[in-house]
Amino acid sequence: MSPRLARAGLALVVATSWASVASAAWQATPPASDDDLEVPAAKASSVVAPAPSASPALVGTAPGTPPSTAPRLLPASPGPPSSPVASDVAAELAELRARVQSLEANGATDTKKTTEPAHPIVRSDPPTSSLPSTSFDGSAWSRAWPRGLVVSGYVQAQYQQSQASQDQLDANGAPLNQNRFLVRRARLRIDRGWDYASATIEVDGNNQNGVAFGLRRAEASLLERASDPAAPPLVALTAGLTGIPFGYELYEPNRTRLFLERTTSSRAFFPGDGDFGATLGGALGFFRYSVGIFDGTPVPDSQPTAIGFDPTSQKDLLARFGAETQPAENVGLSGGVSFLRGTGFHAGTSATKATLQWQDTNQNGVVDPGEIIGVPGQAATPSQTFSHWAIGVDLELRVRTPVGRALLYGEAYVGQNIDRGLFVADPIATGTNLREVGWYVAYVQEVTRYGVVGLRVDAYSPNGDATTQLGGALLPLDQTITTWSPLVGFVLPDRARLVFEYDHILNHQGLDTRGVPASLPEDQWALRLQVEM
Amino acid sequence: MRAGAIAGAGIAALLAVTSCAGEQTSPNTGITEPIRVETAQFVPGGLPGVPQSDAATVDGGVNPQVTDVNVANTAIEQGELGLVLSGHATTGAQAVGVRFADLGTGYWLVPVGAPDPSDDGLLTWQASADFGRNLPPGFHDLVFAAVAPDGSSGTQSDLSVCIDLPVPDNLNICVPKRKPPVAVLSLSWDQPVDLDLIVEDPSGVVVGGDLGSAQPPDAGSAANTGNGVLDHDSNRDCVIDDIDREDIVWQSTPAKGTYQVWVDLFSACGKPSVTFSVSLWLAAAQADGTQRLVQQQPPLATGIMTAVDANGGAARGLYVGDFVLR
Repeated sequence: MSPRLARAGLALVVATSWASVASAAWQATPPASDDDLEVPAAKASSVVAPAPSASPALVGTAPGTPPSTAPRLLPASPGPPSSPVASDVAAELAELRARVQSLEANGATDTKKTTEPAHPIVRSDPPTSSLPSTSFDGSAWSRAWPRGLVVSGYVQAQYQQSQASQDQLDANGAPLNQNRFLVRRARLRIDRGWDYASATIEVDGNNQNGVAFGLRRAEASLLERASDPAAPPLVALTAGLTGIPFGYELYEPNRTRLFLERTTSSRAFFPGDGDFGATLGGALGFFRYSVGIFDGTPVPDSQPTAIGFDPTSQKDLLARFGAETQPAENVGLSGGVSFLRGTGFHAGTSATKATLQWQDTNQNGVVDPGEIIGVPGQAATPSQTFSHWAIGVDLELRVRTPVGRALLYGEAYVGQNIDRGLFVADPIATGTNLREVGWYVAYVQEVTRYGVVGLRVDAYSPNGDATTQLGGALLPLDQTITTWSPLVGFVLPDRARLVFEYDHILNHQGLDTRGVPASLPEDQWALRLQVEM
Repeated sequence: MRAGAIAGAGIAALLAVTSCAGEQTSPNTGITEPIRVETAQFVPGGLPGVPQSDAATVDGGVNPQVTDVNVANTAIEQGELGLVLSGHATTGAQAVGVRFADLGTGYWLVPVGAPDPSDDGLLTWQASADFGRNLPPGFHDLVFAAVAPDGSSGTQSDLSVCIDLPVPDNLNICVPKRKPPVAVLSLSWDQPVDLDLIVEDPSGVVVGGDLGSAQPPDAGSAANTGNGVLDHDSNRDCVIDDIDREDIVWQSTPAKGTYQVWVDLFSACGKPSVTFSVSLWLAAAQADGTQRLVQQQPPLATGIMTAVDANGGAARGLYVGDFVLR
């Protein structure tokens, strides 16, 4: 026997012995069907369906060894047994091979069933990272929930300038300068995915209004995964500090959105993109659904300490029902409708004591008779609540073009007393309900894998019933704020992107030389560098 | 790359369209102007309309115009807050502009309000104005103009106002017939701290600081005739009034001799340091026979005190010099 044949024979004996031991062990302790399987940290390949490759394990080759080399060590068919043990092993091997071939044959007939995605695949194909990094990488409503431990994060650093910037302080002493360097978001996120459960923690640091660190996401979920590992779960029950299921833009992670910030109306309706509550959602084929109940106090990441204080016992009920389809090979279409109904809060006032007040009625700077008046104390006023609601519709079209992927999307909202971030609605104070309307249309286009251009137009009307006096007559006032936001960016796929965005803002907050409401200059631009961790 | 170029051209075209979508106002907020009007729009440049002097030949003036201006007091303190200006404008006006004729770089535009049924349906208007702390004392004209919807404007209206001196002068600068104080010693500083001015006169009487209560400068009692009186204690006990100035006033002829001056940092109010200036103002005869307060140059003293100099009134503080009255 040549040395090479001797080593091959020894390897065969070792391999077959290990296989029999493993087989015996497998038969002795079969896993319970409901046991969670702990999977290593998800790499790109863990998200896509793994290729069937049982044979390397059977022959004990190291992971990554080309499977074509291992089968050569096995006989094509059972040969004459050299001993009783070898005969048993060979028979068992033959039986196992037959079973594998049978399974592979069955799998081949079900190829369409196992590879057909439950979502449009006009996105990274296959996904190149465990979590999507741009809007092109699929809808947030169709994201795959990772298994194993996934540690991720990103940093958004930017320089920004604004026409509204002044080297002055506001009435509270806060600087009005907006021309500055900024760490907009520095996020660190940990996901732990099990078969039937998942947990997520995400923290953020930024210096938008001074350095602030806070919790941005803390989710605990029970879920039933889909057969396609790249598909969202069939159903997931999530509780904690989680995303708000309303529309498309609000639910899309800040990490993937190419435009630097959400639109004006989205930030007015939802000052923050997370809230404390619970959701039940998932994907059934093309159907996407999510129903949630929340405290109704979303706060921006620049005020992390304000999060979680709900002044009302009533909760906000939100829902989004949508669909995702692929009408053509390179086209994906998705959309949904969203609802919100909840309760707002009007703060009462504390009791006041009687005071003396000087009113310099003749403006001479001297206390004259009759200018000192007594102001009697006032009793406290109780806080009150009011109802608010919003309805939204969103539509997204994904197309793979010759120069890269493209995404055209838009949303429209209407609401009542729902502005909590910009022109805060308080119908108790104003005595009338405030009707808000917002919409946007956005288009982003990859230019090869390394470039991106885009344009977004959004408009927000905070009060559809606003009036103003013009020439002595009371006339309706259009308070709509319209923003045109072109962007251009350089992308290192799944690593970094450098994006320049200019916001041309048209409002009605100034007066022109005729006294007619006109736009007050507040254009702004920012150059943002985002790098993944 | 061709698609990228097309997209870029499209964005440029859209921006060009949107830039014409509506008139924008000036980004200048007018915060440094000598007059600032709350909730009004600042417009750089000259006030529209025809000056009153040029329109004198036109009987009744050219519309639209401001017909009347109401103000509680035409004597304005430097840094005065919330002076209410109001009045009427002819029908057809859409806004009223206001500025100083000889100060500032632009005007403020206020929309007119409802018609006044008690005044022939003229349109009402109202503005609340703040004034800068560095306005030059003396008489200045506030000029008003009404603006029509087409941007045209008629005859301007003038209102003469008087900016008072920063030190107590019995309003002499606005009403020269009123006699000013004989002398005023003034301390001013640049930070919201509790700083006190202390003077010891030739007879040994100490005025100011935490050593005696402040009295109005024109109290007129026999006890203070010829003696200096502290007009007020600015930022007393760190209750910040932002006046940052206090004065010792001699309404009648003070005793002749040498006056010694101290500046005492009672409390730094959390500030690390403060820069101060002490100046002497004396009444001087004018050519028309009246008198006017004139600031003596150079200032008696200028200096810096730091937080460690704060003594809570335990001593007179920093001796800054003396002056002689003859």
